[in-house]
Amino acid sequence: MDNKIDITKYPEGFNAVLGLLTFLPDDDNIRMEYFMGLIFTLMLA
Amino acid sequence: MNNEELLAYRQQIIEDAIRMKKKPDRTPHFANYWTWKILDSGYKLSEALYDWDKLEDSTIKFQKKYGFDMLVDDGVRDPMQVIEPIGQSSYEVDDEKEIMNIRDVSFMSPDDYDLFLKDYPRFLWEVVLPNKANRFNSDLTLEQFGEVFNRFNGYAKCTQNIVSRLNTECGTPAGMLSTQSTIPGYEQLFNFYRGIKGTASDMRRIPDKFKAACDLLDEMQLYPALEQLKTSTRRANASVDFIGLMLGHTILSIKQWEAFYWPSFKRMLDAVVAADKTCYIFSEGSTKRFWSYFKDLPKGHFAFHVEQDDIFEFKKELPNCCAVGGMHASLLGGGTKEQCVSYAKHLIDELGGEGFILSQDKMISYRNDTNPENLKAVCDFVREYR
Amino acid sequence: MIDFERLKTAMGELDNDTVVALLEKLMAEGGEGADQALAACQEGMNTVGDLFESGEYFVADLIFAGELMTQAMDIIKPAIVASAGGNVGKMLLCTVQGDMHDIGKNIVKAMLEAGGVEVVDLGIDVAPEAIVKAAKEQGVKVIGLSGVLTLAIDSMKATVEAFKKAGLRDDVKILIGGAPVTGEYCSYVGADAWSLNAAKGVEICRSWLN
Repeated sequence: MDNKIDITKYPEGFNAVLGLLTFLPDDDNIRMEYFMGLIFTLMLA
Repeated sequence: MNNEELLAYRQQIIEDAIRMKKKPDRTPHFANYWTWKILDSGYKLSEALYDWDKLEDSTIKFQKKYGFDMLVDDGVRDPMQVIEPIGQSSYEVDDEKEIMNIRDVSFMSPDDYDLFLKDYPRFLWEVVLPNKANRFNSDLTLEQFGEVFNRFNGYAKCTQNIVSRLNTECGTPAGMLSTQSTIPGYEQLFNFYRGIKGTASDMRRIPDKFKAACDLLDEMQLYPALEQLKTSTRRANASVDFIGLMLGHTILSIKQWEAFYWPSFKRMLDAVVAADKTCYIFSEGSTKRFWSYFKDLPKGHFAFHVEQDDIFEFKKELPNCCAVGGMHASLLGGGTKEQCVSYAKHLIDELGGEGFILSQDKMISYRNDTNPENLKAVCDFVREYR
Repeated sequence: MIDFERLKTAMGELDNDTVVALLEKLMAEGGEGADQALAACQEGMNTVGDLFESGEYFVADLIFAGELMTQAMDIIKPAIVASAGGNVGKMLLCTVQGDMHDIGKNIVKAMLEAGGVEVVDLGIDVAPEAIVKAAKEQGVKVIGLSGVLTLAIDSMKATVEAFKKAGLRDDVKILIGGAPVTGEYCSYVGADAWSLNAAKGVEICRSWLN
């Protein structure tokens, strides 16, 4: 993994993180929906 | 009854109570129990909140012991483990005092609305995450962030396991976290992004931006979900089609309710009716000031949780809606078994039949909120009483 | 000199921009009339209380009113020379042990202060013994206990017990308030009165102080 990426930067960090979602189909909409679900869960935590 | 038959039976009595076309075989009983389940199962709060297996175990143990018809909280309301790799939870857990507290915090400032409205994913990434997760900074590696996904997948698996075991081992339908649900924009701003104080201030200082943010979230999330409701079928293991939340109304004046809340809430209610679905509204605090808005809802679609209001008055004023609640936490915690059962009987005798689901008025979280013996006696009584 | 009647109206209407503009003008002109401005703000807060009572305003408005009053005080504080509005008396206020919620308490505090009550605010998560100690030290006879969680009920009861143990129960009046509070809980706790809304709580405290 490339640890030099500043993951807090948008869109490069954001895209790099979404790139980790290899366990999901290679579909932007599905990955975005998953990300939104994650944010929702983080807000409950 | 085997568990499969019991599941179907429970779904049927809940359906009958909400549809109000025929009297259910008996009054259904919902569990408004939250972290109390953990304590009653013999775990410390932090023990179960940070271990999916123990959380699952405490939920299943609870249901096997008491036998409710639905658990409003399926056991995973506090996914604190998910945020751990990138920051601290907003909750403070004190195992000694058995307390969980959350402070009223805002994860954005009024100045951030411009980005919110212009580029929502960017806003989440650049504003919300750094404010919410204190280790989300430039030192964080991709690998470390990847652990958040592992935790999130673990959370999803835990939810599935709980629902599946509730269905197969306890004959119990799914609750809040496994039934179709979407949180309206106002509720998200109130509960997630701005907090109570921030919301109160924004509605006065920058009402147009606040409203635009509510609308944007509704356009992105609520309205597409309502569109789906038209064609979707109920999840096989659920007891209602849709669960709605009513939490942030508790601070609104009527004028603010009409400006910020009611338009999208009404759209949600209308969509449920148009699709001929059933909907359980988990409402906190008092809703009495808004009952007039619900008077014309057609009968047979909605069940409202009644927390602070008088449930007898609710039924009188809104005979078109099913009332959920009635059993006082003060009685379950401080009364005797006989008092609790006698009050449960009184509630069922007065309100039972169509349009009533027995539940606890408050969200039961702390040990002294309920004496387990009282609860067991009430649960046993409700299952047998016709 | 600014228009105090306009200031009072603006405060009652929670018109943030007008309140701030008027007070900043007053300060820019040397701060003369700051006491009258404070009195006008307090009168405006009374209007807020009345509008809450009539159902036009609700909790969000009270929260904002507290914020606006604090902001107003910060602007004119340097020019205040005498206590305006009269001092009705002193009372103690806090969120009880185990509970960290402060919004309800702060609303009550802002409304009490606007009404001329001196409030000793002990903050949140305050132990029964600390409340008794503060009441003794400050010579306070009216105690307001706030809480949002159901567990606050037990802390409120423990606080009442602590006053009994200290032999002070008959010397003080205790009001409990907050989301979980009910008449049944008030009896269980052994408090003198209870309230679910800030305006009623303030009214009860003021009647006790008078």
